[in-house]
Amino acid sequence: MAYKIYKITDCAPVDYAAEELKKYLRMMMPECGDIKIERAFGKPPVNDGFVLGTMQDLGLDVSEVEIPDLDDILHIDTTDTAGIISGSNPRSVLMAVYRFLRENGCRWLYPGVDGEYIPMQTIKGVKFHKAADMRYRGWCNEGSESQQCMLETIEFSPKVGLNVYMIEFFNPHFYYDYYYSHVNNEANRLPEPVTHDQVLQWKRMCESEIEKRGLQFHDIGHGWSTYAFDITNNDAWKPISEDDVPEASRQYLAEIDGKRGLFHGAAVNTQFCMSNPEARRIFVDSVIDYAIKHPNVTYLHVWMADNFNNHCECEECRKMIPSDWYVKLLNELDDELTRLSLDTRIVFAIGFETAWAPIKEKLRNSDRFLGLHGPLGRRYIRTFTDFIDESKLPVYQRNNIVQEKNIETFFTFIKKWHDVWPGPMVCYEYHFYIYHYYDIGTLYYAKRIYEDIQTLERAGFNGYIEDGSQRPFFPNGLNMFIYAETLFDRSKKFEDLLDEYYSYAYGEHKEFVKNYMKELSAIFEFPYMNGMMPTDKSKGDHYDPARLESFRRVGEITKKAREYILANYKSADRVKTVSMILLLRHTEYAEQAGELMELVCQGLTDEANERAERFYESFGRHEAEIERYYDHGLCVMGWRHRIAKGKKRNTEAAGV
Amino acid sequence: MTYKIYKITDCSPVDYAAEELKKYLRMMMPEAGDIKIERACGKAPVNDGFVLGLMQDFGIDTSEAKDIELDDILHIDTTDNAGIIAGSNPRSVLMAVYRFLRENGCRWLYPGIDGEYIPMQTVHGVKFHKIADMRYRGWCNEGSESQQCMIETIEFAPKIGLNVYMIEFFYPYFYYNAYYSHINNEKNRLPEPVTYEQVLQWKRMCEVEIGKRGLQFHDIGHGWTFDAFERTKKELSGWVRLKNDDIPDHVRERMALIDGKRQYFHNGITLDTNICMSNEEARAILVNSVIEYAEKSPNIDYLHVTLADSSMNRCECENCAKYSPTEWYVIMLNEIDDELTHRGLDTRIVFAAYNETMWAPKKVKLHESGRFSLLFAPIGRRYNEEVTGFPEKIELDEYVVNKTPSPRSLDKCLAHLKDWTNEWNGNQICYEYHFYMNHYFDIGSTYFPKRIYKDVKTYQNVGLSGMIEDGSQRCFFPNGLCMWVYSNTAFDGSCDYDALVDDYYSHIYGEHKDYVVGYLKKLTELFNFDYMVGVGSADKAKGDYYNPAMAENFAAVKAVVDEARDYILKNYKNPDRVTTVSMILALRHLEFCEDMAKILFHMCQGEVETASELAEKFYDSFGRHEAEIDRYYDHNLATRTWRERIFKGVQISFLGI
Repeated sequence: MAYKIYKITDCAPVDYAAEELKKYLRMMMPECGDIKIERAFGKPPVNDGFVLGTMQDLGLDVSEVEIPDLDDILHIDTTDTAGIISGSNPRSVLMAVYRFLRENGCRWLYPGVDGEYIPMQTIKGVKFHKAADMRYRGWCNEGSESQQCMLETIEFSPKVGLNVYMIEFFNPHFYYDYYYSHVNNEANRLPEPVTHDQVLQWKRMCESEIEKRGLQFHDIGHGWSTYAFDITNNDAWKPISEDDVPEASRQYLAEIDGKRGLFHGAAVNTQFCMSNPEARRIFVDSVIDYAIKHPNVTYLHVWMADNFNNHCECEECRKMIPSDWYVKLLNELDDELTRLSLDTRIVFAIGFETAWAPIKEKLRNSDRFLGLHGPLGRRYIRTFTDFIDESKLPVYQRNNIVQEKNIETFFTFIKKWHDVWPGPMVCYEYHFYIYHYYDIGTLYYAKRIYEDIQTLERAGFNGYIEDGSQRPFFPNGLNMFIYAETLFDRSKKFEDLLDEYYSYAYGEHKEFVKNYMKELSAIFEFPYMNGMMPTDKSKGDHYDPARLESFRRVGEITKKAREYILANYKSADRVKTVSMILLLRHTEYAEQAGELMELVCQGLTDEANERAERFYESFGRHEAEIERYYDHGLCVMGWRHRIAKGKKRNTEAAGV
Repeated sequence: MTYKIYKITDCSPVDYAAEELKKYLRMMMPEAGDIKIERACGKAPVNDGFVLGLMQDFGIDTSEAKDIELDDILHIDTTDNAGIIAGSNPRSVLMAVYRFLRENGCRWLYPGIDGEYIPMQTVHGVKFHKIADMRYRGWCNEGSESQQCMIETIEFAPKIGLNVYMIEFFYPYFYYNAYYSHINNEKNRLPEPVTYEQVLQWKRMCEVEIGKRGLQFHDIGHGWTFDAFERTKKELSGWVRLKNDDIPDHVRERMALIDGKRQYFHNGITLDTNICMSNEEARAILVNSVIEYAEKSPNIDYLHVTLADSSMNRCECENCAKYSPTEWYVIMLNEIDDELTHRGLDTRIVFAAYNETMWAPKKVKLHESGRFSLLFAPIGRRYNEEVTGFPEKIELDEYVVNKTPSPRSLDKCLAHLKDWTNEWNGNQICYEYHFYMNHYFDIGSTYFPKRIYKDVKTYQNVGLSGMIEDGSQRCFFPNGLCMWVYSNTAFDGSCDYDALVDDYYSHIYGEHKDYVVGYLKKLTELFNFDYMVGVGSADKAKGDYYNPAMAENFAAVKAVVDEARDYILKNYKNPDRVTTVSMILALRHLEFCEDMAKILFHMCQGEVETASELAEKFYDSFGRHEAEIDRYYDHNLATRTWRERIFKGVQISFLGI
């Protein structure tokens, strides 16, 4: 049977979609012969091949969505060899291609060539029509990132139905440096630091790859409040010198304790004096300048500085709460963008001080803005259940707030925001930051992600952007699969998703693996690992000697699992072999984690730190082999941060 | 300044070329803003942006090319932000984009992201026009290959001016399995075998990536006897061993008769087994296999129809004796031509002058239908020879079936080629083995690039239209100079060797160039290429590697290595990523050299057992670096080289074409 592909829409994502369809069809049917791709504007021969294009170009109704440019409808109507594969925008056409392939048995379980499951079989016709349940289904860079993994995750995103890729910072050197300097793994790998210029080039490379796929590109986030005033902030939270602040700029910085300067030395944490009209004008101009130069940005994130209790204390600033000043600034930005006829979409961030809804000011242009709320600080031990009594929300006190941990409180703040902001809202989540490392078996956490997405709309959001490592696939990618699947279609059942992923990743061994992971999740109980269940807080967040026996059992469990895996890891499907080898490495990880926790739960801090360091160093020797899936830098940071800080030794010239 | 890109030709390689240009322009000028790509078929606004397309679509003369589909002309005529970037075919447009970027300072020095040097600077106008000196500038899979490296080398090929990618075998399982089973490195890496089906899928993936770039796709080579032997294509995709005692009689009749027996050659190797060429049924089946495959695979630019691998495996039956193996081969090729013509297929066929078929046909003549290209494959040649063209006068050995050894010296091989071309005037391509095992013998990698340079020029001198390198996809250890020299010289034979080398070294080692190149040259001297290829023996009776005088050289390696290691550790961090990567590769290479010298110290003194034992330890020890550097270094092939050629005394393995 001969196959043909026609393109009726002329744009890069559709060109790319056609190439992708051709590639996977040829892989599924290696003996089907070559497949020609042709352009067929205006008159698509839908009975002669697969026709790719936007629904609009095919005369299909897209009225079920509010904004076809942003909302993804996937529409597929094919026989075995011909028909329509389309979407409400170019990105959706690409996603429709992947959906068509998925309906024909393909799966993408991890980024990269080893993460694919492509069955060898004749394709069949597909009827599929669905608008994504959530408009924003995104991933933002975090952790330690290599350019290889950045490109692979951009490629991976539309394959699993994600439509937003965000790159934080003007120059994401901080995250790249973490990888290339091999922070937390110097004992095994020679540091290979990269320059800011190199990272900026790589960011542009990523942008091109994002655009080629038509993904929404979200840019920047923090950094404007010093960037606007010529203060170098290319290294995020890395402290810089007060000497780096141009004297002319100092007047615009927030005044704290009577001084205007950097907040604890970090440019990214430094706010500006928002009541100063000149400062606001400079700020607005810098955003405008950036927006003009970067029309490829779908959403420009204009956030205030990171951190909290860092707002200006000058007399003028005290006249309104930070959120009011922020909204005033955003309205001024909107005015100027409108005057210049720029339709740049702006994302404003709600968090820390701006969690409190504005009192005096109100955002004017609902077409321009998207609200973003990041519940940074929540501990993931439960999902959102209900709003709290609004009267119990903490009262704002300038530079005297406490970081919130309760998700209900977070979302009640959002409810208050909705009173003054009727526009769209996206949640900036941290599932794939350090917290997923605290569920060694991953099954508890996968359920948490699922539950969180189920409650998302009720909490007033139209999607997620995950601030997460580009390598959160250890020992498997279930969490990301649940995330992407559920955002697209909330009606999916958790157990079905779990079963689906495990079937493709482990095949006939899935029940064994599931049980093994359940055992681990039970022993390394997530709330305990997250430091929320000490029996005596004064002895540490993880003090609970009663857990010693459980942790002592880990070695036995992992030994049994290791034997099973070694006897069964070779599979006809490459992705299953890879999954089993990852699991094998994970048995070592779990075993060492168990040994460490034996000391931690007894409050033996010194011994635990010694053991922790050996764990971090010893497990780091696997990083080069499994780094596409496992972020050693971030993982160790997670352990150091919450469980055992370790005892870092001098590792200069190690890794040689 | 704003930049725009227009496409005036509508095809995948030009779409891809536009995306590549955009990507690299944005990297070179991160603050230049977004760059829009638009289609402008027919009406090209050449003053408003860079316009990409076929020279023909611009109305530019391409008459200098004999065949515009095959011959690459790169034509660039731009100002700083507008003008024409064109080529004689879609692939050439993509190559013209890379050339435009190269003229603006970009370099691709290794495959993959870390192999790029992209300066941050404003682009300037370029005027460039050149037709490639060699029509075929290719790379064929070899060694142990992962899908990652296959995809990366396909991506890399047009960036350095290569235009041909060949994938050997119906299922290139043998090469993939060597990687995924981590053969020769099982102590450090858990074997992860893959299936034939997985490999076939990956082959198709590669084909699509090759097609997307418009590269010439060359396919197969050996293995066409599957139907004649009633075996699967899998069983003819590599050196599979089968039992000789369960061959049906009617199949046995189709096999070459050797020493009175018709059976698989080499005690069961299907791929090494020829058919009885005088058996009309066997030939007809083989011809039909080729036709069927050609019909199903129109994406193939050149289908390689090669007889069995190995040598001394030709049929000795009475009927076959009427013609030489080459003549029977030509008879069969003519039959293929007839059938393809009959079916209206314009499939291009490559046939090989390889081992026995080095001897030109005398009694029969190959059709000059334009369908055929000759593949001159001097396997077994020595790489310490200096040959500049056809030899003045060489007496060719008279061919006696299964008695006359294949020619070993390059001048003799070339004499055979001359003999062939006296009667055959079609396309001739060289199938070379520089990147098979041979480059490993130049430890410092400063001798072999010159060898490649000279060889390419020699092949140009004798009228070969191009080359395909049978070579590892990971032949970049300690650097990629060999590949750089190969691709550049094949494109432009007039290039200056020293300038070429200086360009490469400058980009990979930056300010450390003189130091690193200095010690690499010392290493090349100390290890001595002649000694490494086994022609430096002081007493042949005591082995090819017996030469006690070399002990002094090998003992001197440590001092060079120690000093270099200190230098690299102090200086390896660089602003250019590719320099850091090159310096780290150099660091790993020092360990490689140090260990190798220790082994050879014993070997050269005749302590073969001690050397072999140390060698085994070395393979395991150095293999621990493979996961880190496997984009550049093929541990399996390197280890095979030492095992088969030096430390186990095996002279030549005919695995390869």
